[in-house]
Amino acid sequence: MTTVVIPDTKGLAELVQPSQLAEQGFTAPRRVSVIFGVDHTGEEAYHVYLVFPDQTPDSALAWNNVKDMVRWVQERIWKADGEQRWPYVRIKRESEIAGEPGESQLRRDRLVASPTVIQSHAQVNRHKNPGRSARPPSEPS
Amino acid sequence: MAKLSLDLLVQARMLAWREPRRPKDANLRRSVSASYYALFHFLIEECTLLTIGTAHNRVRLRQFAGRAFVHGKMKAVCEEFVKTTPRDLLEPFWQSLHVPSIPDVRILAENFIALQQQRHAADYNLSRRFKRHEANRAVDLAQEAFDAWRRLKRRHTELALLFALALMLWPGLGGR
Repeated sequence: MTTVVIPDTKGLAELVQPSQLAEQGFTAPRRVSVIFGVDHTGEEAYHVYLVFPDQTPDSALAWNNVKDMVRWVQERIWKADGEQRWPYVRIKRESEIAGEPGESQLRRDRLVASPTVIQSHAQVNRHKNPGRSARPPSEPS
Repeated sequence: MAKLSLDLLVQARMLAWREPRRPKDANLRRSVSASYYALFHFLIEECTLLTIGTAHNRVRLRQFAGRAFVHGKMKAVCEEFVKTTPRDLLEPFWQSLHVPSIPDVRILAENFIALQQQRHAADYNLSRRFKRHEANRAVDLAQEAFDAWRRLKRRHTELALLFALALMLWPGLGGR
């Protein structure tokens, strides 16, 4: 009998939630999803989405501004998984998840994203931009 | 020295910004693809220069060796080079060259893997649209990888040579 080990994506996701990213000093996304699947070569992989609100400007998502966070998330998941399955970390806005691997899971994750997460996002960004009034991200539909 | 790779990266930048407003999906996709192929050809050019030699009369040998590079195998090599504990074949080099402690090899490998995946999506996944920030990021990933390789070659020549040989020979070595 073959034993199939299902990776603990929930456990992996808990390692890289917005609150942890904020603790590292990064501008945290609204939410983070970790989805197990395969990559373009057919190998098992994780698809990790750092999802920002739609009103996030392109400049905030530029590589220079996100690369440290992306690398931190990547390394954390890579190591936690025993360096077995590559974590593809993607930076997305809410409206940009259509057609991505694990789209249906991403949409479910959006619906269950807790108010606490959304509130902590607003608090983090208020801290990082004290001169700007903090606008809470739009409520999930 | 005329380089296809450098021209492809310039092309990627141009395509990402061809329309200042409302960029065409086709141009953003080609931009992402061009960024990947810029890095792909850059690595082939650099690795064959390092292994075959830079003499002009060896250009055909370099082109011949360049045909040994395989996209999927290159990705597999990159995944090996970001491991703390690689397969047995590479283990002696990890100790002598301190591979896990060299950030530039990690940047190079990670960026190649990311770009290959994005190129595949750009060329084949028609169910999603690309955004300019994604095309820009692909260009930045490629440029960052170029810079990381140049630093690697300058500061850690042996490691650069190992990486070059692995990329070229993995179709034969990867199963060992």
